[in-house]
Amino acid sequence: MRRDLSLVVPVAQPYDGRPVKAAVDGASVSVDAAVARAAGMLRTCRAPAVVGLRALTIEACREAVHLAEAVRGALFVDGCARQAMPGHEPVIQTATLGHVLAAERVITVAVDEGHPVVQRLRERRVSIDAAPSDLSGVVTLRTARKAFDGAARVAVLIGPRVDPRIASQWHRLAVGVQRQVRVAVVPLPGADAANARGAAEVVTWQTGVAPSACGVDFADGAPRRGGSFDSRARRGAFDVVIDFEQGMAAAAEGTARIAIGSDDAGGQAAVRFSTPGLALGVAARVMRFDGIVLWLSDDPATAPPDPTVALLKQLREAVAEGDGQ
Amino acid sequence: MSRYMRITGGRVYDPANGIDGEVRDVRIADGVVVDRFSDEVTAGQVRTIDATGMVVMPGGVDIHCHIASSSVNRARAMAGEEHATHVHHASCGRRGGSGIVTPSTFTTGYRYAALGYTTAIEAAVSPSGARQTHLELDDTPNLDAGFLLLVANHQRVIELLAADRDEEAIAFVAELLQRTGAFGIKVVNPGGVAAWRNDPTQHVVKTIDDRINTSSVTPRRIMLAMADAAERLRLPHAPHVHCNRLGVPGNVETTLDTLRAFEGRRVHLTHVQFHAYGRGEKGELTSGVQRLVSALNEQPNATADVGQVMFGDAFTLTGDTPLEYLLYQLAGKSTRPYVSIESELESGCGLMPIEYSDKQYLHSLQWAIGLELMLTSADPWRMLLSTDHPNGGSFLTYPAIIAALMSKAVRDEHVAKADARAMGATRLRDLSRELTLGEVAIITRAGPARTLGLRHKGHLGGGADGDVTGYAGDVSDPQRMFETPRYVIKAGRVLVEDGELRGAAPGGRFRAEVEQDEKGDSLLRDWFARHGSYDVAQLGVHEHERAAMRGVAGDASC
Repeated sequence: MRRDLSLVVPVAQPYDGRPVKAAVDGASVSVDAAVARAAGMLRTCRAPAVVGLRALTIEACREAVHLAEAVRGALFVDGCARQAMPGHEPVIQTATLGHVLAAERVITVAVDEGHPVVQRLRERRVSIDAAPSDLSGVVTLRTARKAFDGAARVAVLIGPRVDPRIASQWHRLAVGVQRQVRVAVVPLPGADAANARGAAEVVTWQTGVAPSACGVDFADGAPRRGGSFDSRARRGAFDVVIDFEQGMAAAAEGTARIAIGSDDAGGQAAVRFSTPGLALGVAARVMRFDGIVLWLSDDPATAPPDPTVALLKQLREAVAEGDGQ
Repeated sequence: MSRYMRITGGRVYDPANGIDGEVRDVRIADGVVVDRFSDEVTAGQVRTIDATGMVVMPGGVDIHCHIASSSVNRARAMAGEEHATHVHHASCGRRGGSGIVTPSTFTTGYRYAALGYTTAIEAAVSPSGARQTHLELDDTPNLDAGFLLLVANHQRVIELLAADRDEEAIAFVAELLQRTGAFGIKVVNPGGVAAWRNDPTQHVVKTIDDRINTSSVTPRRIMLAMADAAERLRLPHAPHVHCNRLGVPGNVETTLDTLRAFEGRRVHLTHVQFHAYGRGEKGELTSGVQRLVSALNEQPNATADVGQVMFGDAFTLTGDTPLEYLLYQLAGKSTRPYVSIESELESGCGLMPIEYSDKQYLHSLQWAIGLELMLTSADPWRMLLSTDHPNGGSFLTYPAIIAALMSKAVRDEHVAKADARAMGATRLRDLSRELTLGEVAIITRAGPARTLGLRHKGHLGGGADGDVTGYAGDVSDPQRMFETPRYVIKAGRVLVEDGELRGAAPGGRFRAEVEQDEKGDSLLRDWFARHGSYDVAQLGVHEHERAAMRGVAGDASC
């Protein structure tokens, strides 16, 4: 199980069963007290943002979307959401990993040798060719065809740092040669992608709006595509940020924060909840980069639920109760 | 929610129980239809809904739609403009959402309920995609749902059949059904998808006796093996077949060959409108309806849904990857987004938006062929309503289709606007038949439920689920009547009241009762050890999830 999950949560720690801990203004408090404070902030704020859903399980993502909708906030998976889920590019010819493993030839475009997918391919003795340098830049049909010569099934793996326009070009080329060679183009996630695909899928099926870097905004009660988090945060568009991962909220420095997650560096958050995040052993799911859903526990029937789910629900209900008073 | 409910005074259309417009009461106790309440129930405990003047039917059953899968979610992502235009606000405890052709999950559940539908079958899910489908259905309220599993182009199934190991192929399919919590077997372009996966030159399977790649396996062999599987495993629903050569001029020959191959056995042919094409002298598409309808009429074990095309926006979304590629080349290319995904040597999906125009010969002909199929079929129990949502159009167009079926005047209005050459190529304008309310009840609820083997759906007899729809009884405007039911009740819970969507109920899940087989388990483990990209234990649902679904067994006589 851990091996499968290494493609999603490379640094996942086993869940040690610790309950959620909470702090307000740096001082430890009960979860209920912290929830009350966070709910108060959310009730009185003008424009909240819910940020970093990729650090959540699918179950927690569902609750996070519900919370964002309830507080009329904007939600953001993360900056790589655009690549996380195919659908934004005009033309896509892709495949899941099982199909890649069965390819006669795999071409890598700026993919590190240590990437877990490459290691998996080596174990299966799949023939891997690193694309010549000209192929990782501008791709022409002629040069690409040369790389496909003599094979019926080819997979092209695109490294996480490759410009999306180059990846897009590979997709177009693949579509153009389908009657000569079956080519699938598979963008690989970076080490920090975590559950970006799962989060993007959840947001899309629940709202109908696929989150790109622009996120989804519930400001008027209906889901709509919004601006990018960074640019809006820098303009001071948000007055509260619910933050599931530290890095992403950096652009909102100075904005009141409610931090929820496993990252311990949340000292500056007004309210802080320490949760296990993407931890092995919880009864919750994540999604691999190619859309395969994986449980984080071998036995979800008896495993403890992801505590973030209950926390987000409690927070949403607390906001609603306060609104009703 | 009241435990007891009496819907009184309505004209009841319950074809499964031979009731055709009789004024009578429907009683529901604890979510289930009962003939009478027990003596202990007092009048004060019973909520009475006055349906005087209304037309009362069982909740609608959609036999074939695409509403919850990784492919559907890709379509949502591709349809950004649609989701920017059609937004739905969160209100009264209901979740927000967007979309009309590819609606988000909550919106899907609300919109189906608002049309009087309470049951739907997601028609194409790959084994490795089953978990996502369950997750999406969990977020689709108001609908009891199941899904059909794409198995007929699974590489291992083809391999086993090629080695004449049919028993093992069936055991393998059983294991996939059981593990994924699927409701039935979906056959899509049998062999054609696998051939295209392995050999780009095998682009189109031309007959059901073509060999798939270098093996001895043919589409006929795959289909008959799936028929064997459905019978042996006593599945509630027959193999659900999307025939070879969808959309190709002259494909009615293939469809007729398929029907003959199943002679005497159960089969459901899906979206037959797309498979009912003749070929004209210049290679153009013509209507093959008469030949298909006569063949279907003569084969009582065969059922079909129509896959009606409606003018306006739609989204082609199919497990038939070679077909979608062809469609992209013919119609799309630079102007439309296109996505093709291969999934784990199991299946694939292709996606592209489309707009059907009444100014185009092809689209007009498709529209007319669908209506012609339903109007000339001798047995409404075996020619059921679908749009193959969203392929032929949104499920939201059902009321407009019903109106066209119930009224020649409505049809004539459309015929007058449609491409004249296409209208001349079908018999539609000469058909005077107008479906009755009883027949509409058959093609939208009783027929689909019976075909699916859902004995607790599609009727209002004792033991049925308490799913009831009450329409205003003004049949002079059938589209409006079917667009705006006055009451929709699901398992005794009122979802629509006085024409307003008021509530949301969790959706239930159906799965086929399939016995566990050690052979199947071992075959699947072996396949995953050799070709899986994840651990076999991560496939499908866990026992606690399966236990929460409603198992449906087939009839022993099937």
